[in-house]
Amino acid sequence: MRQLKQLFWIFLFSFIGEFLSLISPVAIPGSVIGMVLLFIALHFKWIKLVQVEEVGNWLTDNMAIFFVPAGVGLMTNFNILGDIWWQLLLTVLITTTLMIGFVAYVVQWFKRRTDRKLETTASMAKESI
Amino acid sequence: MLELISTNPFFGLFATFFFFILGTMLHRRWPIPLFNPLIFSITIIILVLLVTNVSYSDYNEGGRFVNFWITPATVALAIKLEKNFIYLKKYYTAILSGIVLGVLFHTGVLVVVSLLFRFNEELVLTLFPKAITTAIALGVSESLGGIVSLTVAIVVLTGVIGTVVGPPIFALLRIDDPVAQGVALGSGSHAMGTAKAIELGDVQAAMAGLSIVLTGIVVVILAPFVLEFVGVLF
Repeated sequence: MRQLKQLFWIFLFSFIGEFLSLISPVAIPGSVIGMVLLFIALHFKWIKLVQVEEVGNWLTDNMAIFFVPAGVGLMTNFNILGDIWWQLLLTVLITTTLMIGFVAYVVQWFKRRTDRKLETTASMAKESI
Repeated sequence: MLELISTNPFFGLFATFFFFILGTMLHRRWPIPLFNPLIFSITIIILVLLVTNVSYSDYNEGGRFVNFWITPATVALAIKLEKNFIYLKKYYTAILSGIVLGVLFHTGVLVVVSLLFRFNEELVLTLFPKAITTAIALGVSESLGGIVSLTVAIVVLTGVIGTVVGPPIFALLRIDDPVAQGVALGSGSHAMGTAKAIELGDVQAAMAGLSIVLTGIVVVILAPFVLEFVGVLF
C-alpha cells in the first residue's frame, strides 16, 4: 500500500504535466513540467520526501532500461540514414564529445572560482575575529 | 505462428529485459563500451528483429510498456533535485554559464562540421536540437523545419554516445567535480546521460536532471536566432 500511494503521487504529477503540455502553446514535454511541479511541491513541503522517495528512487535508479525501445526505434530510420549515416554518426560523435567536455570544463572552472571566493571570505571573517 | 508470438506484448518485454540484464552482466565482467547495457541491448534487439524478420511495431507491442516509464521516471527526478537543491543555489553562476556557453559552443561546432560535410539547411536544423530531451527536440525540429523522425533517431544516438564518452572525457580533462559531471552529462546527452549520471552519484544525477530542463529552455530560446544564422550560411 505504501508503494501504491507513492506511485499515485508520481502518476498524478505525470498526468498534470502531460495535461499542461497539451494545452501549452510552447513545446515543453509533459514529463519536464511534471518534474518541475513535483519539485515545487517537495520544496515547499506540500508533499514530504518520504511520501515519494522509495518508488521515485527505484524509478530513477533503473531509468536506463526505459530507453531501450526508443533506441530500437532507430531501425525505422535506416532508410533516411542511407548513404549519409557515417557522416551523421561522426557529426554526433564529434559534437557530443566536445559539448560534454566543454560544459564540464566551464562548470568546474566557474565552480572552483566560487569555492575559492567562499573560502577567502570565510578566512577573512576568521581573521577579523 | 511466429507472428502470433511476436505480436504478443510479452515478446517485446521479454526481449528488452533479457538483453538489458544480459548486457549488465557482461558489462560487470568486461566493462567495455560495447557491453554498455543500453548499447548492447539496442544493438542485439535490432539484429534479432532484422534476422527473424519481426517488425518494429510488433516488438513495440511490448516495448511501449517499457517506454511508458520514461515520463514517471523523469518526474521522479524532482526528488533528486530537491535533495540537491543546495548545489543549484550555491553554484547557479557556474551551472548557468556552463549550459548557455555549452549550447552556443555546440551550435558552433555543429555548423563547422556541417559545412565540412556539406549538409543542407534542413539537415543542420534537424541536428540542432540533438542534445535535448526527445519531447522538446521534436517540437524544436518541427518548428524549425527539420526532419522530425530523424531528429528522434539522432537524439537517441546522442544519448547513447554521451553515456559512453562521458566518463573517459572526465578522466581525460580531470573533471572530478560532481556538479560539473552532472551538468555536462545532462546538457550534452539528455535523459540517457542522466541515467549514466545516476550511476556516478546522487549529486551528478540531480544536476543532470536539472540540466535537461535548463538546456531545453536555452535551446528553445536560441532556436529562432539559429534559424536565421543557418539560413545565411547554408
